[in-house]
Amino acid sequence: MITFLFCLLALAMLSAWQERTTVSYALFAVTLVLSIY
Amino acid sequence: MPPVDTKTARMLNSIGLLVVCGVLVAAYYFQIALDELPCPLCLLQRVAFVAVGYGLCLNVIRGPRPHHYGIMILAAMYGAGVSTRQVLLHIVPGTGSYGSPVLGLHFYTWAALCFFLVILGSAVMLLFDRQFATDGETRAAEKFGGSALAKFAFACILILAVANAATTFPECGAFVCAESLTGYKVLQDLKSG
Repeated sequence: MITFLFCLLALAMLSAWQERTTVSYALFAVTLVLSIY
Repeated sequence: MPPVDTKTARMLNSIGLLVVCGVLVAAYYFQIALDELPCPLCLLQRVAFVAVGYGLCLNVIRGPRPHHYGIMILAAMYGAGVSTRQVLLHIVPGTGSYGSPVLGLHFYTWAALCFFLVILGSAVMLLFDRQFATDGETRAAEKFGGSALAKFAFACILILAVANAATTFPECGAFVCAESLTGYKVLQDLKSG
Protein backbone atom coordinates (compact mmCIF):
# COMPACT_ATOMS: atom_id res chain seq x y z
CA MET A 1 0.00 0.00 0.00
CA ILE A 2 2.73 2.48 1.02
CA THR A 3 4.78 1.26 -1.95
CA PHE A 4 1.83 2.23 -4.12
CA LEU A 5 1.77 5.75 -2.57
CA PHE A 6 5.44 6.32 -3.48
CA CYS A 7 4.74 5.07 -7.03
CA LEU A 8 1.76 7.45 -7.36
CA LEU A 9 3.89 10.41 -6.23
CA ALA A 10 6.69 9.48 -8.62
CA LEU A 11 4.11 9.31 -11.43
CA ALA A 12 2.67 12.68 -10.36
CA MET A 13 6.16 14.21 -10.62
CA LEU A 14 6.71 12.67 -14.04
CA SER A 15 3.30 13.96 -15.21
CA ALA A 16 4.19 17.47 -14.00
CA TRP A 17 7.45 17.21 -15.94
CA GLN A 18 5.52 16.14 -19.05
CA GLU A 19 3.14 19.11 -18.49
CA ARG A 20 0.14 16.87 -17.89
CA THR A 21 -1.05 19.05 -15.04
CA THR A 22 -4.54 17.62 -14.57
CA VAL A 23 -3.21 14.05 -14.39
CA SER A 24 -0.51 15.20 -12.00
CA TYR A 25 -2.95 16.93 -9.62
CA ALA A 26 -5.32 13.96 -9.79
CA LEU A 27 -2.51 11.57 -8.84
CA PHE A 28 -1.55 13.79 -5.92
CA ALA A 29 -5.17 13.96 -4.72
CA VAL A 30 -5.51 10.16 -4.92
CA THR A 31 -2.24 9.75 -2.97
CA LEU A 32 -3.42 12.10 -0.22
CA VAL A 33 -6.79 10.37 0.11
CA LEU A 34 -5.24 6.88 0.13
CA SER A 35 -2.57 7.88 2.65
CA ILE A 36 -5.25 9.17 5.06
CA TYR A 37 -7.20 5.96 4.52
CA MET B 1 10.41 43.82 1.93
CA PRO B 2 13.17 42.33 -0.28
CA PRO B 3 12.03 41.46 -3.80
CA VAL B 4 11.63 37.76 -4.55
CA ASP B 5 11.19 37.38 -8.29
CA THR B 6 10.41 34.21 -10.24
CA LYS B 7 14.07 33.27 -10.63
CA THR B 8 14.88 33.71 -6.92
CA ALA B 9 11.74 31.83 -5.88
CA ARG B 10 12.68 28.98 -8.22
CA MET B 11 16.17 28.86 -6.74
CA LEU B 12 14.81 28.86 -3.17
CA ASN B 13 12.41 26.04 -4.09
CA SER B 14 15.28 24.06 -5.64
CA ILE B 15 17.26 24.45 -2.41
CA GLY B 16 14.18 23.37 -0.43
CA LEU B 17 13.85 20.33 -2.67
CA LEU B 18 17.49 19.41 -2.03
CA VAL B 19 16.90 19.76 1.74
CA VAL B 20 13.93 17.35 1.47
CA CYS B 21 16.21 14.97 -0.49
CA GLY B 22 18.78 15.30 2.31
CA VAL B 23 16.17 14.28 4.90
CA LEU B 24 15.25 11.20 2.85
CA VAL B 25 18.92 10.28 2.36
CA ALA B 26 19.49 10.61 6.15
CA ALA B 27 16.54 8.26 6.72
CA TYR B 28 18.16 5.79 4.30
CA TYR B 29 21.45 6.06 6.19
CA PHE B 30 19.70 4.97 9.39
CA GLN B 31 17.85 2.20 7.55
CA ILE B 32 20.81 0.74 5.67
CA ALA B 33 23.98 1.63 7.61
CA LEU B 34 22.54 1.34 11.13
CA ASP B 35 20.02 -1.38 10.21
CA GLU B 36 17.04 0.48 11.72
CA LEU B 37 13.91 -0.65 9.94
CA PRO B 38 11.37 2.17 9.43
CA CYS B 39 8.01 1.63 11.16
CA PRO B 40 4.72 2.09 9.19
CA LEU B 41 4.27 5.61 10.65
CA CYS B 42 7.89 6.44 9.70
CA LEU B 43 7.13 5.30 6.14
CA LEU B 44 4.04 7.52 6.03
CA GLN B 45 6.22 10.44 7.12
CA ARG B 46 8.51 9.64 4.21
CA VAL B 47 5.45 9.68 1.92
CA ALA B 48 4.61 13.14 3.30
CA PHE B 49 8.18 14.35 2.65
CA VAL B 50 7.98 13.10 -0.94
CA ALA B 51 4.56 14.82 -1.24
CA VAL B 52 6.12 18.09 -0.01
CA GLY B 53 8.82 17.43 -2.60
CA TYR B 54 6.08 17.14 -5.24
CA GLY B 55 4.82 20.65 -4.38
CA LEU B 56 8.39 21.95 -4.59
CA CYS B 57 8.82 20.12 -7.92
CA LEU B 58 5.82 21.96 -9.37
CA ASN B 59 7.37 25.30 -8.40
CA VAL B 60 10.73 24.22 -9.80
CA ILE B 61 9.39 22.85 -13.09
CA ARG B 62 6.55 25.24 -13.94
CA GLY B 63 7.50 28.30 -11.93
CA PRO B 64 6.02 29.46 -8.60
CA ARG B 65 2.21 29.55 -8.25
CA PRO B 66 0.11 30.00 -5.10
CA HIS B 67 -1.61 26.62 -5.54
CA HIS B 68 1.77 24.87 -5.63
CA TYR B 69 2.45 26.29 -2.16
CA GLY B 70 -1.06 25.12 -1.21
CA ILE B 71 -0.08 21.57 -2.20
CA MET B 72 3.04 21.84 -0.03
CA ILE B 73 0.98 23.03 2.94
CA LEU B 74 -1.52 20.17 2.51
CA ALA B 75 1.29 17.60 2.33
CA ALA B 76 3.08 19.13 5.34
CA MET B 77 -0.17 19.17 7.36
CA TYR B 78 -0.60 15.48 6.64
CA GLY B 79 3.03 14.81 7.65
CA ALA B 80 2.68 16.92 10.79
CA GLY B 81 -0.42 14.91 11.73
CA VAL B 82 1.38 11.57 11.31
CA SER B 83 4.56 12.64 13.11
CA THR B 84 2.64 14.31 15.97
CA ARG B 85 0.68 11.09 16.40
CA GLN B 86 3.93 9.18 16.72
CA VAL B 87 5.33 11.73 19.19
CA LEU B 88 2.16 11.36 21.29
CA LEU B 89 2.44 7.55 21.19
CA HIS B 90 5.77 7.82 22.99
CA ILE B 91 5.21 10.93 25.09
CA VAL B 92 4.18 9.12 28.28
CA PRO B 93 7.29 8.13 30.31
CA GLY B 94 7.91 4.41 30.16
CA THR B 95 6.23 3.90 26.77
CA GLY B 96 9.61 3.63 25.05
CA SER B 97 10.68 5.20 21.78
CA TYR B 98 11.45 4.18 18.22
CA GLY B 99 14.90 4.38 16.66
CA SER B 100 18.04 6.18 17.78
CA PRO B 101 17.88 9.82 18.84
CA VAL B 102 19.64 12.39 16.65
CA LEU B 103 20.95 15.41 18.58
CA GLY B 104 18.69 14.44 21.47
CA LEU B 105 15.47 14.16 19.48
CA HIS B 106 13.96 11.16 17.71
CA PHE B 107 13.36 11.16 13.98
CA TYR B 108 9.60 11.61 14.34
CA THR B 109 10.13 14.72 16.52
CA TRP B 110 12.51 16.16 13.92
CA ALA B 111 9.97 15.27 11.22
CA ALA B 112 7.19 17.14 13.09
CA LEU B 113 9.47 20.20 13.37
CA CYS B 114 10.37 19.98 9.66
CA PHE B 115 6.69 19.80 8.61
CA PHE B 116 5.84 22.84 10.75
CA LEU B 117 8.79 24.66 9.14
CA VAL B 118 7.48 23.74 5.66
CA ILE B 119 4.08 25.25 6.56
CA LEU B 120 5.78 28.37 7.92
CA GLY B 121 8.13 28.62 4.93
CA SER B 122 5.27 28.27 2.43
CA ALA B 123 3.25 30.93 4.25
CA VAL B 124 6.24 33.30 4.18
CA MET B 125 6.88 32.63 0.48
CA LEU B 126 3.23 33.40 -0.30
CA LEU B 127 3.83 36.94 1.03
CA PHE B 128 6.05 37.76 -1.96
CA ASP B 129 3.74 38.65 -4.83
CA ARG B 130 6.41 39.52 -7.37
CA GLN B 131 7.31 35.86 -7.96
CA PHE B 132 3.81 35.37 -9.45
CA ALA B 133 4.08 38.46 -11.68
CA THR B 134 2.90 38.21 -15.28
CA ASP B 135 6.20 39.47 -16.71
CA GLY B 136 7.74 36.28 -15.33
CA GLU B 137 5.23 34.25 -17.34
CA THR B 138 7.56 33.62 -20.28
CA ARG B 139 10.39 32.56 -18.03
CA ALA B 140 8.11 30.44 -15.85
CA ALA B 141 6.69 28.73 -18.92
CA GLU B 142 10.14 27.40 -19.74
CA LYS B 143 10.66 24.08 -17.96
CA PHE B 144 13.00 24.45 -14.95
CA GLY B 145 13.62 28.07 -16.00
CA GLY B 146 16.87 26.86 -17.57
CA SER B 147 18.34 26.20 -14.12
CA ALA B 148 20.77 23.29 -13.73
CA LEU B 149 20.19 23.29 -9.95
CA ALA B 150 16.45 22.87 -10.52
CA LYS B 151 17.03 19.95 -12.90
CA PHE B 152 19.42 18.27 -10.46
CA ALA B 153 16.99 18.70 -7.53
CA PHE B 154 14.12 17.25 -9.60
CA ALA B 155 16.23 14.24 -10.62
CA CYS B 156 17.21 13.63 -6.97
CA ILE B 157 13.65 13.65 -5.61
CA LEU B 158 12.39 11.48 -8.45
CA ILE B 159 15.13 8.90 -7.84
CA LEU B 160 14.41 8.97 -4.09
CA ALA B 161 10.65 8.50 -4.64
CA VAL B 162 11.29 5.46 -6.85
CA ALA B 163 13.95 4.14 -4.43
CA ASN B 164 11.52 4.44 -1.51
CA ALA B 165 8.91 2.50 -3.46
CA ALA B 166 11.52 -0.18 -4.21
CA THR B 167 12.67 -0.50 -0.58
CA THR B 168 9.19 -0.33 0.96
CA PHE B 169 7.91 -3.25 -1.12
CA PRO B 170 10.21 -5.89 0.49
CA GLU B 171 9.22 -4.54 3.92
CA CYS B 172 5.44 -4.25 3.58
CA GLY B 173 4.54 -6.08 0.39
CA ALA B 174 1.73 -4.78 -1.81
CA PHE B 175 -0.84 -4.40 0.98
CA VAL B 176 -1.15 -2.65 4.34
CA CYS B 177 2.03 -2.82 6.48
CA ALA B 178 2.06 -5.05 9.54
CA GLU B 179 1.91 -3.04 12.79
CA SER B 180 5.20 -4.39 14.15
CA LEU B 181 7.81 -4.93 11.49
CA THR B 182 10.63 -7.32 12.33
CA GLY B 183 12.35 -7.53 8.97
CA TYR B 184 11.88 -7.46 5.24
CA LYS B 185 8.64 -9.50 5.13
CA VAL B 186 8.65 -10.28 1.39
CA LEU B 187 12.30 -11.39 1.42
CA GLN B 188 11.70 -13.59 4.51
CA ASP B 189 8.64 -15.14 2.81
CA LEU B 190 10.71 -15.86 -0.31
CA LYS B 191 13.50 -17.48 1.73
CA SER B 192 11.08 -19.67 3.70
CA GLY B 193 9.43 -20.66 0.42
